[in-house]
Amino acid sequence: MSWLKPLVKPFVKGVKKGFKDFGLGITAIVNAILLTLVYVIGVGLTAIVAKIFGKHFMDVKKQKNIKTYWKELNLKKEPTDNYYRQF
Amino acid sequence: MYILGIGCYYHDASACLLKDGRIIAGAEEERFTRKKHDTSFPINAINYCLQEAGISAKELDHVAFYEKPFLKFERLLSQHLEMFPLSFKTFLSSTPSWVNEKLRVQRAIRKRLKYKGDIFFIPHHMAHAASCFLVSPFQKAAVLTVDGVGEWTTASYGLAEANEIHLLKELRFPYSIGLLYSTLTAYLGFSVNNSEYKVMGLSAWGDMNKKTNPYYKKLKQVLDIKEDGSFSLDMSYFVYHYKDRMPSEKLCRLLDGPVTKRGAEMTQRHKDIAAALQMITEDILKSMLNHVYKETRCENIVMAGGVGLNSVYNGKILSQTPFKRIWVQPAAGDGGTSLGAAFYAYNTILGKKRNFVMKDAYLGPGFSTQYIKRFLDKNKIKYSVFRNDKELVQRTAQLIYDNHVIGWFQGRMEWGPRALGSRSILSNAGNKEMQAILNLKVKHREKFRPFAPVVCEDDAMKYFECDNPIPEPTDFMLMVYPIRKEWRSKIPAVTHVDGSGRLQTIRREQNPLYYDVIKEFGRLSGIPIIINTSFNIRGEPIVCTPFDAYKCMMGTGIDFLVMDKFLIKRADNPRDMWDSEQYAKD
Repeated sequence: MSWLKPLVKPFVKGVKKGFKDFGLGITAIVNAILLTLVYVIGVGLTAIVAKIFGKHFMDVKKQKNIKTYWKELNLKKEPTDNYYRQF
Repeated sequence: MYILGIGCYYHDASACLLKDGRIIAGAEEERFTRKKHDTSFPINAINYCLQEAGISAKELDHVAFYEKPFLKFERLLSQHLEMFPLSFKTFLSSTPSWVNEKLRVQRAIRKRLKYKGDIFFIPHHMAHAASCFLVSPFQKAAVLTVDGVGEWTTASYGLAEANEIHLLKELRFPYSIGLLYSTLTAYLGFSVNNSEYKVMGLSAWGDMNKKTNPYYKKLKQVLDIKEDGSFSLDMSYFVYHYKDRMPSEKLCRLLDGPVTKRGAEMTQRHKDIAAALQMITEDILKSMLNHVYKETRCENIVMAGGVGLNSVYNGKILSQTPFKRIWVQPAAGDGGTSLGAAFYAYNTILGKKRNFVMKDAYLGPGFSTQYIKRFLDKNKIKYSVFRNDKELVQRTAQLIYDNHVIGWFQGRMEWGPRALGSRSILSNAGNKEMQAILNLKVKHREKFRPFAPVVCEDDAMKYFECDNPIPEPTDFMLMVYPIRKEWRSKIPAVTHVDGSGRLQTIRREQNPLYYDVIKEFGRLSGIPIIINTSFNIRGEPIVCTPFDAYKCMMGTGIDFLVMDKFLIKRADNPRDMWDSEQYAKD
C-alpha cells in the first residue's frame, strides 16, 4: 500500500483546491446577485426618487455665473471625542 | 509617549512611529512586500517601526488613521446615487472591499496589532496639512493641500500657527486637479497613481507655448478656472466618477485619438498633450497660491497632497508668487499621511509642544555591518572590504569617474518616493552616453525620461538657477530649476531637454559619506555633480534590504554595489546573474 502514498497526497491536494475554487466561485456568484439586488433596489430606487424631486448628490452640472468654486470648510481642532469617530 | 500613524487601503500604505513627538521610524509597505504602491494593511511597515523602537503594540499610547472611512464611503455612495445606473460595474467590483475591510479599520487595527488603546481618525486633507506644517521649520505658515481626492476634498487651503491648523476652504469632488492629471496620465498610456511624474517629465518635450500648443486651448475648454484658482471640470469629458477607468470617449475625440497603448512610442502629439496639461496645472496652482497669500498674508507656504510632487512647478513658486519660503513634505502623496496623522494626534489633539523639524528623510530600516557580512558570506558572494571611510569615498568616486554604474546602499532607507543617497544608483553626470546606458541597461525605462543630479548644497548656486536662499525642499528633490547655461553641455546626462534638472542638494550633516563622494568626484572631474537615481528596476519599489540590492544589481547593468563598507563587483559573481528586462514594467 506504500505505493499508494505518493499518489494520494497530490490527489487530496487537488481535491482541496477544487473545493476551494468551487467555494470562491459560489461566493462570487452569490455576491454578484446580492450586490445587484442592493444596487437596483437600494441605490436605484433612491436615485430615481431623488431625480424626481431634483435632488443631486454631487456637483456634476456646469454652474453659470459663479464667482468661485471654493467652498467653506472651516476645519480645525475639534473636541477629542470627534476624532474617535470615523465620520 | 508612542504614537503610530497608519495609512492604507487606497494606495501607498505606510506607517510612522513617533516617540514624544519625534520620528523613530517610518516606511511604506511596498518596500517590504515588493509590491509597488501596495494598498494593504501595512503590517510589515508597522512591525518594522515597532522593532526600531524596541516596543510591542501594547506599549503604543495612541494610533492615528489618515482618513475618515465612513465619510469616504458616503462620497462613493453619492457617486453611485448620482450616476445610477452607469456605476453598476464599479459598485459590483468595489463594494466587497469596503464591506470586508475599508469600513472595518478599527477591527483590523485591534486584531492585527492586538491593540486596545485609542484610535484617532484624522480627516485626509488635515493629515496632509499636518504632514507638511507640523514637521516644517515654520511656526506660522499658509497651507495648501492638493491631491486626487480624500473623503470629499480635492484641495484645501488655510493657515497654521504653532500647533493649530485651520483649513478655511476646500474644493470638492469631482473637481480635482489630481484626477485631471491622472486622467491624462492614463490617456497617454501610463499607469495611474504611479506614472504622473513621467508625464511631468514628458511635458518638457512638448510645446510649452500657450499660444501655439493646440492642446492647451482644447484642454482649457474642459475647465472653468476662476481668478482665485478654484475650478470646475466639464464632467462629460470624464468617467472616473462612475467607472474604474479614466478618459471618456469625448475626451479622446477632443485629443484627436484613442487612449494610447501601454509602451507605445511617444509622438509629438503626446508630448504636446503632456505640455498642455502641465501648463494648465501650473496656471491653476499659481492662481491658487496667489489667492492663498491674499487670504492669509503669510510669507511661508507649506504644501502636501500628491500634486505637491509636481517639482516642475514647485521650482517656480517663489518666483511667481509673493511667498518667500516654502516647505513641502517629501512624501507629499498618500504615503506621507501616516506621518501627518501621527503628528496631528501628538501636537494638535493632545496639545503637545512641537519639538521636531524634518531635516532628512532617512526613516526606514538600516542594516548593520555584521548583518550585511553574514548575508554576503552565507550566500557565498565575492566581495572586498574598504579599510576605512576615506578609501570607500575615494574608490567610489573613482569608479563613478571611470563611468561605472554604482549601486549605493548605505544607512537607513529613505521615506517617500525619492532616493536620496541611501538607496541610490550613482553614475557620471558628465558622460553624455550615461542617460542612454542607464535607461536601457539598468532601469529599462522610457527614453524620454531624464535623470536627476545631486550636488552639495554649498555648490548648488554655481550650477543651478535656484531661488536664493536655496529652499529646503531641494534636499528632497522637490524642486526643478534651470541648469546654468554654461554648464549644460558639461553635465549632459542630467540636463533635461529644456535645460532643467530636478536636483537634490545635500549637506554634510545629513549624509557625510554621500556628501564626501560627491566632493571627491568633483575633485576628479572638476564638476561636483553626479547622477542620483532610485535603486530599483522599473516597476519595482526601491530596494530595502541587502538581498533586494544584490538581486537588483545582478539583474541589471549595475557594475558595482557599495553596501556599507563592502564592495561587490557584478562580474565577480556570474552564477547569480539574471536578466530583469522582461520583468521591468509599471
